[in-house]
Amino acid sequence: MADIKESTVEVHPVSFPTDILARISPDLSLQRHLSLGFRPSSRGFEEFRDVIINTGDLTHNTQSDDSAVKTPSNDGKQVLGSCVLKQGDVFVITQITGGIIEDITLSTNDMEMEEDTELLEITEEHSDITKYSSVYPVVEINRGRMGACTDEEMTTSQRLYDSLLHSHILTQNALRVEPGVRITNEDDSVNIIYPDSEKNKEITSLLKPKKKWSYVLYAKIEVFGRTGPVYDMCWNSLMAALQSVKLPRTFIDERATDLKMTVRARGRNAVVMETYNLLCDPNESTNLQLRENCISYASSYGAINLDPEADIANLEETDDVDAPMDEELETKTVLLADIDGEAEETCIKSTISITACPNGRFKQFSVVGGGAKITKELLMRSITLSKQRSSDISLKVQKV
Amino acid sequence: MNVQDRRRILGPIEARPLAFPEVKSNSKEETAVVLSEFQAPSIQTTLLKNCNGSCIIENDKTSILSSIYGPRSTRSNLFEARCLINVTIKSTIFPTSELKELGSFLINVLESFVCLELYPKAGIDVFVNLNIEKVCDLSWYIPYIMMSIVLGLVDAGIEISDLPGCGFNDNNAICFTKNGSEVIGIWRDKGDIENESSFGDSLDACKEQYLQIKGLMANYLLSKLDNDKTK
Amino acid sequence: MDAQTGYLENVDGSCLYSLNSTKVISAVTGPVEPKARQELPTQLALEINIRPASGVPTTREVNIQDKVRAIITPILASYKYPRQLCQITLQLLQSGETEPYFHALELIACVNSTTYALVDSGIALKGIALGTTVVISKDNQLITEPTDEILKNSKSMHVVAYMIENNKPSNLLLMDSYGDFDENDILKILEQSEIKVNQLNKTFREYMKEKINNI
Repeated sequence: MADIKESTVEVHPVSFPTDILARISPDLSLQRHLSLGFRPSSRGFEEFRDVIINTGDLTHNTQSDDSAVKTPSNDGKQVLGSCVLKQGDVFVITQITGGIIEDITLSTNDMEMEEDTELLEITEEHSDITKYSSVYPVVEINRGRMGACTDEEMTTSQRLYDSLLHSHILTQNALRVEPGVRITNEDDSVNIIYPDSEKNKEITSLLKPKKKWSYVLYAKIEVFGRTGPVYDMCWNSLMAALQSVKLPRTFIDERATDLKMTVRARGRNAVVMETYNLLCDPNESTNLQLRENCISYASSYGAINLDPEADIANLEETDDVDAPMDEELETKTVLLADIDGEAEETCIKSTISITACPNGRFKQFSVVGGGAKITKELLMRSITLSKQRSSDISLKVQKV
Repeated sequence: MNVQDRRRILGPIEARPLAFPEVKSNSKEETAVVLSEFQAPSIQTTLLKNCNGSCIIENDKTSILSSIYGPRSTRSNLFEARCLINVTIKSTIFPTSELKELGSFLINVLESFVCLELYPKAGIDVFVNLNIEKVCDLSWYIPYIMMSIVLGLVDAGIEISDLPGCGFNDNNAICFTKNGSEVIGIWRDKGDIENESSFGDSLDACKEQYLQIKGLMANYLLSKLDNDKTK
Repeated sequence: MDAQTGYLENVDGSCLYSLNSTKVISAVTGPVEPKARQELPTQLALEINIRPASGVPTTREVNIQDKVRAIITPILASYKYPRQLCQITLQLLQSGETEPYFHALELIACVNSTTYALVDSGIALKGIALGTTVVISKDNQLITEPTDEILKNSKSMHVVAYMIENNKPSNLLLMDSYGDFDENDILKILEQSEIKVNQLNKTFREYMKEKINNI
C-alpha cells in the first residue's frame, strides 16, 4: 500500500458512435450534420418526408349500395370518415364520428328565412364567425404511458379546433339535419320519405316537428411512433378525413312526431321539452359539404443559426468554398423543412408553421421566434415551400 | 362550456350519439358465421420508432397494432425479482370494462411464457390498439391480438420460452404453448359450456388453428431473418 | 391601455393590465426553489398558469399558456438563475372577447402584463416582449387593438409579439394568424404591428421612468 507506482496518465480523445453522440449532445450532432449540407435524417435542408394518405379504410358507410356491409357499432358512434396518414415513420389515424344536437338558438322563423339565402351562403364569402363551425378534436399521442393528457395533446387539439373554425371550411348550414319521416303503410311495409322533391317536402313539413337539429362532428386523432412535432400531420390527416365524411340521413318515425314529454332538467327547474328520437338511416348518406376553396394543408419549418465552430469544413481547411472569408464571421441562418427527430426538435427554437391552400391563400400561420432571428427572406422562402407542399398533398388526397 | 373533461375538447354535453335502428337479426348471424373462419392476416413488425417493439396484424376488417415498451424501469420503489407485465387494450368499439378484463387475462397468459426472471426490477408495457369493425365478439379477435403481442415481444428482443398462440372456435378462445400440449388460457365471452364432448371438439379446432398461426409466425420470423441477413 | 404595477403585495412582481374590455392581473414569483421535476440544471425553469375569467381552465387556457411561454422564455436571462424557478400566474378578470371563438385579445393582454410584472419583480431580462392584435376587416382595412365585434366580422386576425432590445423591436417572437390572408397581408401586418409595438414600448418606458422617479 505504501509505494504507489508512478504512472503516466494518457488522455485519449473520447469518440462516440453517431447515434450516441446525437443523444448526448444533440446540438453538436445537428450542427455537424448541417455543416456537411444535410440533416441527421440524411434529408436535404428543404426536403420533406414522404406522405402516404389513405382515406375511408375504416369507414362503414363507404359502399352505400351494399347494405350488408353496414353493421352499426354497439355504442352508435359509427365512424363517418377516416384517414390513415403516414409521414416518415409516424402514423396518424383519424376517425370522424358524429352526434346530433338540438338547435335551441334558432327559431323556426329564423331558419325559414335562412333557407332562401342558403345558396348565396355557399358561394359567397361570409366573414361572420358565428356562421361557421368546427369539429371537436381529441388528439392522442401514443408514447407508452398511461394517465392524463399531456400539454402537447391539449395544445394540438385546441389549435386544430381554432384553425378549423377560422378556416371557414365548415358552415353551420352544412351540418344542419334535414330529417325525413318514416311512414308505416297500411300493409305494414315501412318507408322513409326525405324532403328531396317538392312533393316530399310538403309531406315532411306537415309531419315533422318544429325543432331543428345539427350534426356535431368529433375527430379522434391517434398518433403512433411520434418522432417530432405532430401538428401538421394531425391537420393534414384531419383535412383528408373530413373530405371522406359521409353523414347518414336521419328520420323520425311518424308516430313520434307529435309526442310530448315532460322532463326534469337542471335540478330545480322543471322544463317541458319535446324530445324526438332521431334515427339514422343506415342505407342513405350524403357527403359532408365542405367549402372547397378553404381546403388547406399544413407544413412546418425551422430556422437555425449555423455554428461556424462546428463546421467540419472549417476544421479541416480554412478555405471554405461556399462562404467567402469576409462573410464567415456572420452567422448564417438556414431554413429546414418538416422538422423531425429529437435533435431538430430540441435544438430548433425558431419555428414556422403554415397552413396553406393550394391556391396560395393561408388559413393559419404561426411563427415562434425563440432562437434564430426570423428574417423576411426566411418567411418568404417558407411561404413558397408551403404552397408547393400544399398542392402536393392535395393531389395525394384527391387520388385516394 | 363543457366541463366534464377539461383536458379534452369533447363538444357540447347535449349532443347525442348517432342512433341507428336495430339491424334485423338474420343478417347479423350471417356475417358472424362467415367471418368466424380464420383468415391469414398480413404481418408487419418494427413499425414504430418510439417503442422497443411493434407489430401490426391486418386483414380486411381488422387492424391490430401492438407496441411494446420495455424492459424499462418501473416507477415502483419496491424490489421486484421478476419483471412486471402490463397490458392495455384500446378500442372504441368494446366497453372499457371488457377490455380491462381481457387485459388482465392476457397478463396471465404472458406471464406463463415470458422469461420474467431475466428482467428483475423492470417492467414491460404492452399497448394494443384495435382499429376494427365490429363483426364478432371480443373472443374472435384474441388469436390476432395474441399473434400481434407475441411478434411484438420478439421484435422488442424480449426473451420468451416458446412461440405461443391462440385459437378460436365456438365462443372459446384457447391459448396454447409447447406445440399444443399445454393450455395457458381460456377465454369465453358468453354462454355455458354445453357438454364435455363439444368442448373437446372446440379444443381440437382451436389447437389446429393455433398450429396454423404458429406456422405463420415462424414463417414470418424466418423470412425476416433472411431479409435482414441479405441486407 | 392601462397598466398598474405592484398591484399585489405578496408576490415579487405584479401588474393589473387592461386594454379595451380585456382585463388581467399578472403575478410573478421568482426566482424561487422549484419542484424536483421542474428543476433545470443550468437554467431558470418557467411555470405559467392562466386562469380564465369564468369557469375552470381548459385546453383553451393550456394553448394560451403554451404561446405565452413561447414569448416569455426567450426574454428571460435564464442562465443567470440555474436550478431555480420563475412562476407566472395570470388571472383574467374580463376576457373582452367571445371565448369559444377567440383567444387573441387575452393572449396579448397576458403577454404585455407579464412584461410589466417581470420588470416589476426585478428578474434579469434580456429584453422585453410586447405584442398587439391586428385584424384585417372585410374591406381590407388593418385595425389594431380590435374589439370583440370587429374580431367576429374580420377576414383574418393576427397576434404579433416582438422582443425589444436597446429600445427597438429586434426579433419577432410570435406571430399567430387565423382566417383568410396572403403573403402581402402578412408583410403588411408585420409592418403595422412593428409600428404599434414601438408605441407600446414608448408607453412602457414612460411608465417605468415615472415609477422610478416617484421612488
